[in-house]
Amino acid sequence: MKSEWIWPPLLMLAAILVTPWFGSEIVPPSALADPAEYVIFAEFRIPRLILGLLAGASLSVAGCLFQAILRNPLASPYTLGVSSGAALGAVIMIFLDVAWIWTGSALGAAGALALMASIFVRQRRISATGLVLAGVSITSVCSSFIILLQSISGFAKSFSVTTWLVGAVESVSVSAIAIYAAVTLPLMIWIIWKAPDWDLLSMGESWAASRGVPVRTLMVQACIAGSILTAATVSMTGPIGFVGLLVPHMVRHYAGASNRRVLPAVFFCGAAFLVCCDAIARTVLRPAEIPVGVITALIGGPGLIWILRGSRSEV
Amino acid sequence: MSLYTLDSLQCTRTGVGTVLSNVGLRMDAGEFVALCGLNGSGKSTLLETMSGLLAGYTGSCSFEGRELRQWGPRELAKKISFLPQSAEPGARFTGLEIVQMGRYPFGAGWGGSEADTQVCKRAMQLADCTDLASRYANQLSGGERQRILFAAVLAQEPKALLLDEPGTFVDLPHQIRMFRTLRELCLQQGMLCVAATHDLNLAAAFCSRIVLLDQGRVVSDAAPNKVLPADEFRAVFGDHVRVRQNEAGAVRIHYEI
Repeated sequence: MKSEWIWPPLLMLAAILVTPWFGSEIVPPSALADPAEYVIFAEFRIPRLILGLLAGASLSVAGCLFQAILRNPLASPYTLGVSSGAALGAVIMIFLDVAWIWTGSALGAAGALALMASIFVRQRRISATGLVLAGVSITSVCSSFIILLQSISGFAKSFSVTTWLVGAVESVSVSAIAIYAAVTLPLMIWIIWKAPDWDLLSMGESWAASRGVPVRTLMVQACIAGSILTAATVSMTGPIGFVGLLVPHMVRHYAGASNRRVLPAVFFCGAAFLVCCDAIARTVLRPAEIPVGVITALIGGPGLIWILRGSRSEV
Repeated sequence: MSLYTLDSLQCTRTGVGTVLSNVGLRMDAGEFVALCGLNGSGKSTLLETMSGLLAGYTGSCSFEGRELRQWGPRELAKKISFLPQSAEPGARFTGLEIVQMGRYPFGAGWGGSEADTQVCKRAMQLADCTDLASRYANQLSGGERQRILFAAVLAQEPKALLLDEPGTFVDLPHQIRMFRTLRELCLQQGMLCVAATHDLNLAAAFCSRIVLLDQGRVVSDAAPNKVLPADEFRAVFGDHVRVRQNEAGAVRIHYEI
């Protein structure tokens, strides 16, 4: 029992201690005595590390949450269409040559969420299948628009859109990270704290309701919380795939389904996973960098297949 | 004052139409009520309404003198526990984790105090599933899962326990044991227990009262040895189901095939 709780934080700690030294140049700890190296380390590697930790944790926690409340193992931050809404918003900004990519993706995510909300306000109830269907529709509409914009824009713009769509953890200003942390950390703590509620919801809505869970309110709150986590992350890094799918499944494979154990572990493992992928992304083709989205997909896809093959139980 | 008071209760469901019409019932602490009737006669809808899951009813359905709509979900769950037909413990929860869900309304979502653990243990003993505590639900048989769910609703220590087909998938010895447990809880602790069931023999042997539903109406409501031999029962269940009564007055069902 004890070892289950201790491993994930240790994993994250190890990732924090090991990964910052790797990059286009490998900086050994002793080199920090050199002021120039120190500046690179403190102003680029450390913010990038923190962004990677927060983004990895956010995507994984959001994925875990959606999988529980939608009772669908394929649910991830993409399922609600929030991710693609954010991507479309950002692509529109790139297309219009406006520098507000951040704002664009936040608006796009809000738009997708509002569209989703309008459907369910009309229907006056939220069903898991309905959410997934609506999310798939929104996603395909958004990707069609993105392809349309790409095909009518010039080569250079189209290239930068493609780059953005792969997703990357890049150095950002400290103030942007501070805002990002202030948004995502409280949400993640709330989601982890509510783990018993997600457990009950994952057994079915009538089961949860007759244990005293305020199902409707909680579903709405969960959708909003998960969407904000996703939108904030997409706006910082672009849509990074597979993290929200692979990490929760990996943790559940070892720890069972109870979110009381899974969610805290997912928080730490998600953070560790993304910074490790990012370290690989900036090291393997040194001095060139690969977008981290490529690495998460390359590790995540086969990883997921391997887990699914190995698990005798249903997912 | 009755625990439950239902007055001209009417329920419609989208796509189905009127499911319950003009239901009037009183239920008291200590009773063990069986809801019987054919498929689609309104048993589940009645239980869901009584558990507070369906707010869209007309007429009145009050618990402890207060209309169900006016209860908050958590305060209701401290007094009423409902075992729905549709619980899906497909995921890899352990038996104990599912039973602990019954303590959620008491603020013990994270596992709770030593007292909560004791309540869960006792509930698992009553449901005869202590040996399933550390097994994953998706590795259990249907009947074993059902016993875990039964333990979970017992762990809620309700004043009123509502069960929709509690014996589904459960082997006969455990069904008998389950109904005996329920009767004892009703007699000794004054719990009200309402179970929708198709097993008329179990209902006849253990329940204090049978409510017979037909097309959303209560057609008969009395002790088993009054309801089963009556004409209303035969009108609903047809000629293949025969009722025998022994000298002591106990009734048993057998099939004329």
